Amino acid sequence: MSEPLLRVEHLKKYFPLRGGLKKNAAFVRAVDDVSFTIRPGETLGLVGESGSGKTTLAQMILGLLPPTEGTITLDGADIWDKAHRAQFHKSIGAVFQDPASSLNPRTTVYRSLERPLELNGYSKGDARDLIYETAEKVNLGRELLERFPYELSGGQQQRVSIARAIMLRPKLLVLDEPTSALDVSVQAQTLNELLELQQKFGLAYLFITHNLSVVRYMSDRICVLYGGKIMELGETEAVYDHYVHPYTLSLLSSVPPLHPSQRNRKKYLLTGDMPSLIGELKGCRFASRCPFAQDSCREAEPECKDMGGEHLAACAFAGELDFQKD
Amino acid sequence: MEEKILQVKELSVSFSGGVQAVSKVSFDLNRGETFALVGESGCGKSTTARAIMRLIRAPGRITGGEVYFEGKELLGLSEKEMTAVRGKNIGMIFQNPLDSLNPVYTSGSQVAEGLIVDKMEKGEAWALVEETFRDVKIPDAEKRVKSYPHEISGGMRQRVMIGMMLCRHPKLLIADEPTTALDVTIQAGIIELMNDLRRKYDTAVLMITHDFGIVADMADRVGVMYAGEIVELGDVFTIFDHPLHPYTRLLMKALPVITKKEGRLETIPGTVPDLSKPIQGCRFADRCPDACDACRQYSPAMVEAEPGHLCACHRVKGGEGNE
Repeated sequence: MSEPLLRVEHLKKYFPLRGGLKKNAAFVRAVDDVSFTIRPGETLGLVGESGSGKTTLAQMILGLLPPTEGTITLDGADIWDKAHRAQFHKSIGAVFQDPASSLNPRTTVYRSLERPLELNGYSKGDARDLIYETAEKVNLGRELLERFPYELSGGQQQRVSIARAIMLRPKLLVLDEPTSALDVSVQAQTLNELLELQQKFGLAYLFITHNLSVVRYMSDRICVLYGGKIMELGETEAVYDHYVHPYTLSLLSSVPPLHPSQRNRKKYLLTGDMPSLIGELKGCRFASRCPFAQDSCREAEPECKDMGGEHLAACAFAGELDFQKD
Repeated sequence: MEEKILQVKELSVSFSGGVQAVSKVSFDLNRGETFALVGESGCGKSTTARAIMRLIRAPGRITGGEVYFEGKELLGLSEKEMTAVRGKNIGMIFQNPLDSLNPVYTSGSQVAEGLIVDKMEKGEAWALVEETFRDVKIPDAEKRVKSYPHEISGGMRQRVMIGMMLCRHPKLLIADEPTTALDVTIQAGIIELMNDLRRKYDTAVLMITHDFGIVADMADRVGVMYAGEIVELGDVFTIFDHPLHPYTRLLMKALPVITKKEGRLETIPGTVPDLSKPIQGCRFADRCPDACDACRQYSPAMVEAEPGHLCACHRVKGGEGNE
């Protein structure tokens, strides 16, 4: 097994709620002790509901938000290490959900693509060659480059964002809901293009989404996040077909069926809301909504158990529960 | 019970610049039935729903067609008469419940308002509001009726909206992407609730969605829209098991139902045509893998390929598929 490209260790992000720096300040534990790795050329899918900490995690990995505790290393170097900062920015790229708001509306697409190259010391001529080359790779016609973002369709705008993200040949791309603003047919196109680029350049992806079908299509491994903690992590097949965490069960059973004949399938619907992440938290985060929760779940936080083959689950009863899969 | 509650006949809507957002859309809804209009953004599904409710704002305009609700034509009614139909006979819920609720009134009082308009006595109305909140499975109903919209979660707000519509027992509920803004776990709860309630009250539902999963979970019949037209219409099982229109077939194959190891998704080349210009021939011809000369010349008519299964495609003639 190759050395991991990205290593996230015991990462925490607590947002102060009031009291600021005072001792008794209350915190929102948005991300709480998360550890995982991404290997070169691999896609790790990150799934979870809104408020689970997906985007906070992405922002920390992109170096946009300093973690409260824990470390992130890319290619063996801490991303907050000043000596490696410039290299870090070149090694990582990002694509966000809304392509329109990630492009400057007042400049042409060409200019949006040229700017990062300028900052990295490319000459005008070299920049032009690279922009044309990259545009071709993401199937963006050369005539579109002189247009403004509003003159492009959503799918085309997203291709511009992808082109910009891969131009400097990063090793890791953070994709935060890259297709949720797109239509099904455009989504299929974008996903296929992302897979092609990955194969061509050996890119690693951190693919963040709430769409469980999209993440299954794209990922080698999947990480299920709930309330700022990892619930289950493993190979795509392990998480989808042999899940052991009750939260994964509820999440997957919430996905609408593929065919009307599955309408009356057994569902494990969640009731209530995600618990508040403020203050001291006791026990398992999912216990308040878990259909299998015991008293002990509310007392002690479950450890991350290895179910074999690097399939991790943070449930005290992982592997012992009868989910009646059908 | 095959009684038609809603009949839409050749409904057309245009916006400024001659954009034909909806062109001659026709479909029927039977009593108690759920009919889904499915399509990608810009296909005219929401505009169709709004046109039925006469909620098209200028410069948009209904340019033709008829809408019959229980045999009564709606497009010719005065605005006052239409107001009596909205909410009372036809309820509607939208994508973002926060936009539909007034932030300065409690959620309960907004639900009660409709009942009081119906000349219900105040105390009685409030009792019914509480009962409705229980009906839509809002926990702590007696407390939640006094909550303001910002104090409750998105899923709960959508439940308030559903309750607000259902407490006046409309015969038809139009739901325009009601779960698109919600998490998948919350969405599953809302779908289950809607399925339970429509059975309980025998309400017909016109579901507007882009998600085939929701269609599979809720619809009895489906209309697939493309570029302002219904291109295929039929029973939900028929549409899923043997779609006839090339657009429906391609769209189904674009759904990510596989893993990357199993293969690649099919894509639909090209883009939706510009609806501000007149289009000759079939609107899907430019993107269709099976297009022939006739497709580029003449617009295909809706034909009944088999009983109850309609399709607008030159390649489909009376039941023979084009697979």
